[in-house]
Amino acid sequence: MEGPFAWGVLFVIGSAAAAVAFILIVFAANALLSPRLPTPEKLEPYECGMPPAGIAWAPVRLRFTAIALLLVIFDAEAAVLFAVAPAVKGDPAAAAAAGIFVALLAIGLVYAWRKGVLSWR
Amino acid sequence: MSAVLAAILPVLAAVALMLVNGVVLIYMLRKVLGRLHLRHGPLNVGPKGMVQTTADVLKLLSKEDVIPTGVDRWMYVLAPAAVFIPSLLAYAAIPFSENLRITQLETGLLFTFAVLSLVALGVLMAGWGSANKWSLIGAMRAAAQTIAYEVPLLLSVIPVVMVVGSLDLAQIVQAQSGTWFGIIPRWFVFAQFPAFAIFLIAALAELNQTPFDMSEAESELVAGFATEYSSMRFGMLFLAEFSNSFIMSAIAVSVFFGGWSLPWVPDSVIAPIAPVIFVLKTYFGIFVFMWIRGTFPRVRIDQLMTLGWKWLIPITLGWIMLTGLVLKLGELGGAS
Repeated sequence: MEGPFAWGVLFVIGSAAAAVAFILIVFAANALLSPRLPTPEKLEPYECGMPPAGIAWAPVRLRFTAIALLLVIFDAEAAVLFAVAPAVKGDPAAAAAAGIFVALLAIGLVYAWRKGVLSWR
Repeated sequence: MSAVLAAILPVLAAVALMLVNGVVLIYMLRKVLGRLHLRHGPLNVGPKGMVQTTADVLKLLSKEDVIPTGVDRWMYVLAPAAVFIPSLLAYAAIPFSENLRITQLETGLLFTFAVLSLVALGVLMAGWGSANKWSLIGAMRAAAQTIAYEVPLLLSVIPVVMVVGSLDLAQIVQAQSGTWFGIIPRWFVFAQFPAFAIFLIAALAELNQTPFDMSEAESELVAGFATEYSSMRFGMLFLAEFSNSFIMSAIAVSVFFGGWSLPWVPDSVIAPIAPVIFVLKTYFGIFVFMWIRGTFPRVRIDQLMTLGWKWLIPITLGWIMLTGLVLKLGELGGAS
């Protein structure tokens, strides 16, 4: 690994490390400066002052499982398009291929639409 | 030694910039919202209340860090970091001027979007780890919303990338210098207006900003995913949030509003003050976000999903095809 790419990777690692260091410093300062006076009431989950009813991790209906699948497909599409888009000005065959790819996914979107996946019932 | 210093300085600059942004933006938000509500906003601490947010940060630092019983400890403790780190990384590729960038990335645009999409993960961690119903509902809403609007956000900049032929934000800015007919600046907001409109809507949704702020709707969900956080952990979550709106506005400025350049002004005049122009434009973008926040009511979740999937995505796909077609036809016309 050489050149700008290696620098980019190094930068990402470096700033993640810097962020972690910053967070540690801030929390250390917080721990030094702040009081520690826990009481049972203070440590209750906030539920508008009422004693909490049941647990918070109750089953929730995820209405968007199918939509999440669609997201994966379209995010992959976006990633591919990001790779293709700078080169669209060049080769006509490649641009046509990218166009067909977008069209196929558009048909997929229409299919999901007709199946009622996209309506929030 | 100097190489190490050269590597460390930009990172420190990014941290400093993020902190300053957080402090300035919170003050600005309170002032702007105050004016929009015909109030004054903060007034007492310092001249015109300018030191108010600094005082708030110091106060947060000295507050007790309450970790409620029953939380999923690892998730709860790590969530602020999981929100903060990608938010800092996103500063890497922002082009403040031709040479002033934290790092040179050929795929700057893609990188920025990639790290910003990690923020949603931290939000979900915060909501789930808090063991609180408000937090969980807020985080679930945020996840659904981010899922729905990530795609149009990514797709909306692709036409611009196709026209420029590069993912490097600085090159995208350079492609926008000059004017049409000597009057209209060559900014992509004019040539690519549909793309910009979709970008703006999707960016507001990605930032969980009004009118898409269901994930922390104060009147319904207390504070959404941040309900159980106190002291500096809360501060981290909010710092990251304000910093993200800076990033999003900076992307909008560099992709659609000509970045550091000004129309009708020669480059020799611009060069020394380029970063100032860039930051001013970005802050104006944030002001528009705040203006929208003070003006629009919240949309319903089903309206949000319908808008995202049934309108924005088909329109962007069509616009990408159209732009590609026009580009190709232009090339053929130019070649013959």
